[in-house]
Amino acid sequence: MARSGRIYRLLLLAYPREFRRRFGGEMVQAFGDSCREARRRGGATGLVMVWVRTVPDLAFTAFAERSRRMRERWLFMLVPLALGFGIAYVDSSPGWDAAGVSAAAVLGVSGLFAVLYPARPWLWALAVGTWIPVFGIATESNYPSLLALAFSFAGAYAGVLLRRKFVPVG
Amino acid sequence: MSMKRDIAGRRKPREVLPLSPAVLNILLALAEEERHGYGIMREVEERTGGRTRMGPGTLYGSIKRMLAEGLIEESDERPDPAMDDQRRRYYRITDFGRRVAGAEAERLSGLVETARARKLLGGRGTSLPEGV
Repeated sequence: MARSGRIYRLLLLAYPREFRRRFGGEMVQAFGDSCREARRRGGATGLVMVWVRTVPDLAFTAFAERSRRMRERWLFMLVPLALGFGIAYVDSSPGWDAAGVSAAAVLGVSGLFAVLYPARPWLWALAVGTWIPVFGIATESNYPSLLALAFSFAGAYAGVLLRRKFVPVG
Repeated sequence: MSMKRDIAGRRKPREVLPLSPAVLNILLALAEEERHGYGIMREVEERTGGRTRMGPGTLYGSIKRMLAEGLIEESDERPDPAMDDQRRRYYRITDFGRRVAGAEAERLSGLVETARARKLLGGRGTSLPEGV
């Protein structure tokens, strides 16, 4: 029975981390209770039947939770992508001559997203900081514009440090 | 004011209908009393004569969404602390959850009436679809 519990706990890795943290303990407990009851009623066969029902349930619901999470994440990614695009659009306009303001905007926006969602700072850095080099290289072969990525990465990782300093984990 | 809210500004039950069989079963289990996860699984299995068995994945996936929708909430009270594991979490139905369950029951009842009027129920009386 304890082995079943250990295997089930391991299989819970199929769920997204947030789901596991919130419900994993309760799921292991409910599964353990089911196993004990099935064993009491039907012996080893009862235990096998619990596994036969549990594996497809776990596979379908883990897939559903992961795909839901992925959809939310990709929809949310549109926000920093749009902000990064906006900064790059302004930065590439003919009258614009304030590179420092563009750099500060990239740094600030990347940092803000990393403070809010510190799990993947590199993703925010790329979403916000890629557009200036894309515009710069595509329109003027401006390779130094790649420096914008340094600002976005610096902002994102500074955001993570701020988050850790002011919002302790756990 | 949103059309999805009533005069008091509360959400309308119809907004979250139809319910999945798992969600309706959980609401029915909690309409009677507060229960923990395994308690809900047991109640559903016993009430349906073993025809509906919810696995932990279905149960907690539904609970997650029901908490977000405000259909159920976590309970701080422990019905029988002496007999219970402190790590268990109990859930209870909210007023909104109760109204939603009632609205869904009425909706299903209407469907059953239609089925009966069209002689689809045969001689089996008021049997509900499996899983309900």
